Amino acid sequence: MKRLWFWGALSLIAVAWVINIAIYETEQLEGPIVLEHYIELPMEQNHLFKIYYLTNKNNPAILQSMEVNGLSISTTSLSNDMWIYDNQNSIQSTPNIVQEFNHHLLLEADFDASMLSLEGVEDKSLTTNVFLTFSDGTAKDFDIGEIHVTPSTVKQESKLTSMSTGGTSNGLHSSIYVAQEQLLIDEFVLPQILSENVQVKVHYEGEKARVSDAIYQSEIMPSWNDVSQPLAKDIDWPIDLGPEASVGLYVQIDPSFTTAIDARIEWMGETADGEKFIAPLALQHIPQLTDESLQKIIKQARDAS
Amino acid sequence: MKRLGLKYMIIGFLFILLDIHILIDVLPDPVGYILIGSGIVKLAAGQPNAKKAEITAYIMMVLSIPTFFLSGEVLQQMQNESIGWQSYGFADSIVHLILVYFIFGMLLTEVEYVLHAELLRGRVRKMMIIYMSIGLSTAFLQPFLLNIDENIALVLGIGIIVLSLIAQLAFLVHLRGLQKTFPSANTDQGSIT
Repeated sequence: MKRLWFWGALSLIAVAWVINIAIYETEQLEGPIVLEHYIELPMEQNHLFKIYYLTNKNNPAILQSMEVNGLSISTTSLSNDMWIYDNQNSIQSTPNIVQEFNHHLLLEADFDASMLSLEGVEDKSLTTNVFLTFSDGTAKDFDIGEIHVTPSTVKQESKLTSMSTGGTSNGLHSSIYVAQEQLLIDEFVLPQILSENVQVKVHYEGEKARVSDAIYQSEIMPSWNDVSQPLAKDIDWPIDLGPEASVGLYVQIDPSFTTAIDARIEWMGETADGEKFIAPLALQHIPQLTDESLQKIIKQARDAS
Repeated sequence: MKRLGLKYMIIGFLFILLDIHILIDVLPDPVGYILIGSGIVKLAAGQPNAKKAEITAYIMMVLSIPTFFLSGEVLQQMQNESIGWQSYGFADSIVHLILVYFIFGMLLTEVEYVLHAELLRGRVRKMMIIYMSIGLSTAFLQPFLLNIDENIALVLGIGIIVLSLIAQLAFLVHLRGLQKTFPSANTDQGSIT
């Protein structure tokens, strides 16, 4: 081997190292990035809600606690079967990994909604900024979207009950409701934060008609386009529904939507006696990030800081 | 004398190859590099390549001091977390390659063989080409593990480890073969296998 070849090869190796270390360093996050959320749930349920965040793959920051309305609550379900070293070389339990990228992880942290004691609060509580504490020392307010926590209410007899619910892996949800008595049902309205990425179709065939779930009837997994019903905005609201008659909702969440959803959307109406009622629609969406959406989120976070 | 020098070098490289940690490295790398430096002096003292190899061995002795206290796994974890330790890992592998390069230079041109000198130099040249091809290509590919897809990185990483191990073992067997060509103190006769 000629001497120059050896030193030339070493120079090439040095260049490869410098370039790769530079790329690696530019990909590293200065701190965790919390995704946007829409969380709407009643406090009386022992319901866990999840916070999704991005962190570096090496030396990840682990979400430890959140503070809402002055009340601090810790994560509840760190799995104990795995562990990692943090930057002080102390052992940390790892939260569940939702997605793994070349340099980053999308992690989830579970919190117990019932820990959010909101004594004296009568209306829905709305929070957009929460104080989060991470294992890497990051402790600050994060704008995480919207968290609505409904305080405990006396359970009323349901006037519009859910008969069946379904869902497909491509983000199509269905829910069929049956009226227990004569009802007048208001327009189904999505929260503003979801309106651009979530679409709703309504299966309504008249006051006395019963409808069946297209998702269960289909032999192959249906898509949004297979649902032939009109969009909710094209329905002539309010609608009448007689006893034992049914109505269906089909909800399509854009699979590329990067906002995490864990909500019970309220569908309201009134009985023939004028009594108001609420029928909830459970909606959940775990973001599945592409490399493009990941880079977009990181860029937005860097621009914002 | 030369047989003893090669023996020192073989033991020295074995110290570096084997990583047995019981609180500390029981086969310390710095001791390995001292043995290699001593072996070089016994093989071709004062020759240009031998001098460079000896100095490089002592530089590696200093560079390898952290491995006396830190196991390979802990060192890897630290390299993942810090650019300083990444640079250390890079320097360690490059200087080690330079040391072996000078040793090959010495074996090729400065060591006086007792038997079949041309045949042995031909073997050294072949071994140098194989070792350096593997060493340089794995050192070139290693930094890409930082940024490529994890599944590809896993396969590539295993390939790099296996190839490096094969090169190290082949080099040790080669040194042992050279050692046998020099007469021992008892028999005063060498052999070629």
